[in-house]
Amino acid sequence: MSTGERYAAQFLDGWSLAAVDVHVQVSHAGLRIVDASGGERGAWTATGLACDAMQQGGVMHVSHASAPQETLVVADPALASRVLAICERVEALPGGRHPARFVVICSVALVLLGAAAYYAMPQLAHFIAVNIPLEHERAFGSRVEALLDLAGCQSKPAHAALERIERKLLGTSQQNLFEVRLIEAKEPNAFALPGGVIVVTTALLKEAASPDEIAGVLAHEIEHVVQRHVLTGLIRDALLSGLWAVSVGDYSGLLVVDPTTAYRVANLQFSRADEMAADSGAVTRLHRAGLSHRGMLSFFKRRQKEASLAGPSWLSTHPSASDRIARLNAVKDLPGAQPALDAEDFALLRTGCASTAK
Amino acid sequence: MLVADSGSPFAPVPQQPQATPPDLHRFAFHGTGGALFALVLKNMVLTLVTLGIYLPWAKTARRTFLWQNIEIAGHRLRYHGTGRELFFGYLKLVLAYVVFIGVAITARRLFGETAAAAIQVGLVFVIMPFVPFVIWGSRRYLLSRTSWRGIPFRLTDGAGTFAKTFFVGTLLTILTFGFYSPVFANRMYRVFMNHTGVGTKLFEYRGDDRSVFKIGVKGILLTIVTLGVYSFWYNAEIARYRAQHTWFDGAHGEIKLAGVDLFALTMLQVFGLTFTLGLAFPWVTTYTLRFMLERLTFIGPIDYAHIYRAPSEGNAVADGLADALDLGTAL
Repeated sequence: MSTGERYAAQFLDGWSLAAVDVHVQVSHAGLRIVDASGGERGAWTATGLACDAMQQGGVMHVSHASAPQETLVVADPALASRVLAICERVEALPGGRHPARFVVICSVALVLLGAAAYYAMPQLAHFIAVNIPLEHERAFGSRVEALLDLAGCQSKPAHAALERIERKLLGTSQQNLFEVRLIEAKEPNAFALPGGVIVVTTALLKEAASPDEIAGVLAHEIEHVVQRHVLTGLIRDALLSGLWAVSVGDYSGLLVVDPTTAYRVANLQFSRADEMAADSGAVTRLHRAGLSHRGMLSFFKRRQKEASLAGPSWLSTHPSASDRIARLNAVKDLPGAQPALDAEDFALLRTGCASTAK
Repeated sequence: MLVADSGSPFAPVPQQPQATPPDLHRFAFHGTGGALFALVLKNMVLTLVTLGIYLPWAKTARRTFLWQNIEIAGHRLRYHGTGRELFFGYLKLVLAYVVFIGVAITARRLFGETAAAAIQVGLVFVIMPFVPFVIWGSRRYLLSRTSWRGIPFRLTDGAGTFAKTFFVGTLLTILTFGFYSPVFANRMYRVFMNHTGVGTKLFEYRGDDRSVFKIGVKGILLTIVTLGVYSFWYNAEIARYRAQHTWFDGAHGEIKLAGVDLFALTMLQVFGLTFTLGLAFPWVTTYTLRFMLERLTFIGPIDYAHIYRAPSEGNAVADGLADALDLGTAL
């Protein structure tokens, strides 16, 4: 190994805490480390030389595969640049000599990855959902229903009236795929569970101004089930939260904003798209059954006033009532449509559970 | 400044104090928020691209950066942990989790929902006694992968003592409505420090419970009276007491930290992170480390030549388990 200019450094032998002042000679073949008494502390070849430049502030650690416990501490910039030039393995700060460019490239890559995930996620979730056998979804739905422990209304006349609407909305092939549960609750609401159970609250029946409103709500929930929105939503939720966890999970403890918030906001957009799709499907289903979609329209108009008090629509899982009204208004109604129930059945449906409603 | 001035390790940073007396061992932190931000971005991109597989390597890279920018008495800490060992540690945990899920599913099929729920609840009671051992194991792993002046740190056997202190302390803290907590924390710190060392030399904590209890009772009462404001001054007093009574060879610690310092630092952290939606955390992290470490010194002689390498081992599974149980020992 040829000798060259001598540089000052410190040598750690890895056996004691003592640091020894040394001189280092660098050539293209490697390093020669000599202490103050002239004793050779090491002759390291370039092959096997490892440089750790993760530190800021003027220090680099150099080690060699032949003596992994020994470390050369380099503080002289001239020596550092010469050693770096022959190092076989360099552990450096990200970005090397162009950190600003590195940050820009990484940021662009993150945005592109985020956008790709955002647009691919609904399709991927839907693909997985439609490939899960319906019986598995129904079994899952039964467990969810058991967990919810819903207090049902047992009124036979009310159930009979509701079934008449159901039969109109469902073709003969779909009759056995759905079950409607009437539950006692103060909130006017309806929702679909995985697998085909549709839950309608007594308050919704009580609030309905016409049987067509109830038919509209049922058609909407049936579409959620047919289009596998519930399962798709659950899978999408799992995929999004998993993706979020792997991307920022390591830093979640350092972020002051709840890391799940961003992914929830993204999920709202998907939920609203599902609601719109269910609305469109419901209109088609109602018309096919010979029913008007005007009931849905009047239901949304009544809810619009309450929704405006609930907060901005971008914070909701549902599209705003005005958006939905505008879309339904644009659809031509079915000429000669019949009411979903006659007045007597509608009265039975509205009042059937009244005696037990809280 | 968005990023470091240069990717070179020789980027301009505040110079180290030159005229340091031999018996004054200063601490410093040299990392910049910009460099940490670049590292975080790189970690996020690679973690996303690999669907999370890169996480152990990302964690190791972050630790390497933070550790190796900490300077003690003119020498940097070095981190020797690898992403590979963390990855295999995680794999073992995933395997254990899969086995547990399998047992729960089988139990539900064979014995119904109640048995599955009982197994899940039972697991919590099985895991709980291991919490102090996991904390200990995680710290042991981190110390075994950290070296200074070429010698690894270590945590000697003491997990049993730590577990006993942990459970007795938790119980007494509950029974005394929190007034035992300063003594509890003091005893935990003592067990940790008395088992922590660099090579053959262990740290020694000489603080006594009675003094800490007096500081603690005053601190808790004044914190209640001042609706929490005094907590900064209380925590600063505890930090000063601990440092003053922590010894390494012939040197003891000293931290020049006042309540107002902690108050200002906390305000900076809260507002700095809030107004940037958390994006400023690399700068807040590096500033916090610099702020605290520059106030810490060890005073007194240390006989470096007579402190030798000693075996130091740690298991990466404990590190992963501490993360999984959210025990907060990773950073």
